[in-house]
Amino acid sequence: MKSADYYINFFNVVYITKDALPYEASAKALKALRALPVKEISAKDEIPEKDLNRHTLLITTAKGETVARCPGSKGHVCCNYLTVDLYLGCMLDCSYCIMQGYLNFAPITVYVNNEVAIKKIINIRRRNPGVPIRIGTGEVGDSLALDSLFHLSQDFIKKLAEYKDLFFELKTKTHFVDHLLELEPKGNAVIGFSLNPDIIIASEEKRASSLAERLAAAGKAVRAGYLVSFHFDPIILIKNWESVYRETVLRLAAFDSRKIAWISLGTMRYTKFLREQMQERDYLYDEFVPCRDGKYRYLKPVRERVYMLMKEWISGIGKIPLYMCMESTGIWRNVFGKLPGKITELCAIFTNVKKIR
Amino acid sequence: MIYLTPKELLSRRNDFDLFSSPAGISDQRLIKQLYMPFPVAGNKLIWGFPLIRQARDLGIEQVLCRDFSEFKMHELLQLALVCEDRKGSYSWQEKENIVLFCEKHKLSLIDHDVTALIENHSDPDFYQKVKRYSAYPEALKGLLNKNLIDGKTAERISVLPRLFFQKLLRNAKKFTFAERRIFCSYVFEIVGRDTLNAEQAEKLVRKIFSFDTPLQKIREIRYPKLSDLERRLADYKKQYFRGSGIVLHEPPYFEGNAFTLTFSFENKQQYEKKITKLARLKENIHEICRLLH
Repeated sequence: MKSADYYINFFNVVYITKDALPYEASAKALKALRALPVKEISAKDEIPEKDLNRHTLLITTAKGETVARCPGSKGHVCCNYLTVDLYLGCMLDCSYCIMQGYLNFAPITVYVNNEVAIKKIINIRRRNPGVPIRIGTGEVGDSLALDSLFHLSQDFIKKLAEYKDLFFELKTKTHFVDHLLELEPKGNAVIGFSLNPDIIIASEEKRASSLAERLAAAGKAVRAGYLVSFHFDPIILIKNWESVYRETVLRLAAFDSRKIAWISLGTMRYTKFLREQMQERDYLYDEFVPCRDGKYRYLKPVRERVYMLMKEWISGIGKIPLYMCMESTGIWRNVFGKLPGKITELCAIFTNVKKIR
Repeated sequence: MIYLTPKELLSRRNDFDLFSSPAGISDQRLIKQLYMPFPVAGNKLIWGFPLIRQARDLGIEQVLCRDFSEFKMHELLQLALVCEDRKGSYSWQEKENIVLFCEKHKLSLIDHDVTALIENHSDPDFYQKVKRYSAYPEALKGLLNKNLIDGKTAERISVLPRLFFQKLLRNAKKFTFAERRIFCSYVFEIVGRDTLNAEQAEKLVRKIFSFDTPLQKIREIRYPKLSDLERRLADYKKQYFRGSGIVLHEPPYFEGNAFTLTFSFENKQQYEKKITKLARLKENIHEICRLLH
């Protein structure tokens, strides 16, 4: 867990909408952040322009749909993940993040009325009997970067624990898991760690936890009884990428493979808009080409080789469900020999949850 | 209103001679005095230098002026900008002139709202941008002032060797505006990717401009793997399909699963000829398929 100073040093001001005031999560966070100026507002649009940036924290309630399908990517295979908007925006400042392009000019937002999303997930569970459901809060923000302030994930874990085949995933680049360890019951909650070799963390994920810290947190989570997942995404092809990624994969051998719910792979990709927002990085001078969804990726034969090698290294540490994020059917066929729907251990992961409305 | 001679107005060096826009009115209008009086402070011209030069060249002895001596220096600059009325279309050279004028006369661009009369949208970085421009090599300034590249590209590539800007300025007509932008990006990215020092970068620049099609050549260097795939495909097309009437289509950037073949026929003979040709390709088709796998 991070001390309040970590957040106080990052944020300049806190805005809270009146409807978020009665929530326990708001009270907890405001107590920890009492050194910061706190301003009550009726609606988000009352925030002055000078504070429309990620050093402003907005505590509010979600008004619209809080549970949705991962938007996927046109012409690419989607893993049918469901997403919950809980933390919107991120303080970790990774150079490649899509949020650099879209969310930098907005406050980091926390939706404290998590009971709405929990109710919705339970409803989805009931309407799709027997269908495995994977759902997570890490789509538009880091699941745990602010969670030690708000403790919002605990309710999800506890209240969803009784539902079979419901995998609630908290995806993070931090090691902030301590507040979750004692929690019971845990059900099928999965704590997911995005991984990259230290050399890439140091240059591109500067505010995130080190690899050692993330792996240590994963170890704690496993010992406490959680399932964990690992996400090598984005894989960035620095000059010695093979040795540094192989080394990183090998460090996962320390985990009981039965406790690893899944591992995902994704190579570096960006939209044209994001590229314009990004500062110059050496890795951007590699050969990226526009794909069917408009995103730029490494050339197909390059990606295939990356996935083949990663697959080979990962298979060496145990039988763990492995999938690729936002990849084309061609790549799936060339790397796995078939599409995920035909791969036994991926069937559950890729099942389409039909009724979510 | 007062009358002053063009000679008098142009006799001394004048800081207000900021703009390089051409004279905007006809000789006849100047001769017949069909113009707004020229603003002056004392006998110092504030705006209209190209017109006064035009009047001088026409032999006009006196021009109608209005005296604004009571104006402060920043008001005179604002007046000049209002008369010029070219918000959003000032060249970098003109913007530099304005900034230097403000520095010399200790005027604040922000306090006196000067940038609002220069740019379409207020730009808090205006001063920094112009100062960066001031530090550019002359050839890069030339590219900007001739609208051959945009400000953002100039800023990005400003670290490249001067030789590059000189060669680009000389060869500007070989590219469209968009091509020039891409060309600059490629050169910049290759220098960054291959960590070329100044000498190596100059060598690259010389090499690139020695080709008739520098853009194509630089793309091959910037995208070696993609270019190799394209070259191999072009060879296959030449070897197996040239003159056959059968066209092989690859997915864009080889980002797909399948090739497509198209051909047309008018009768049975033509159809059989195409099918026979395709049947013969069976032995080699795997070479082409390998490009996607």
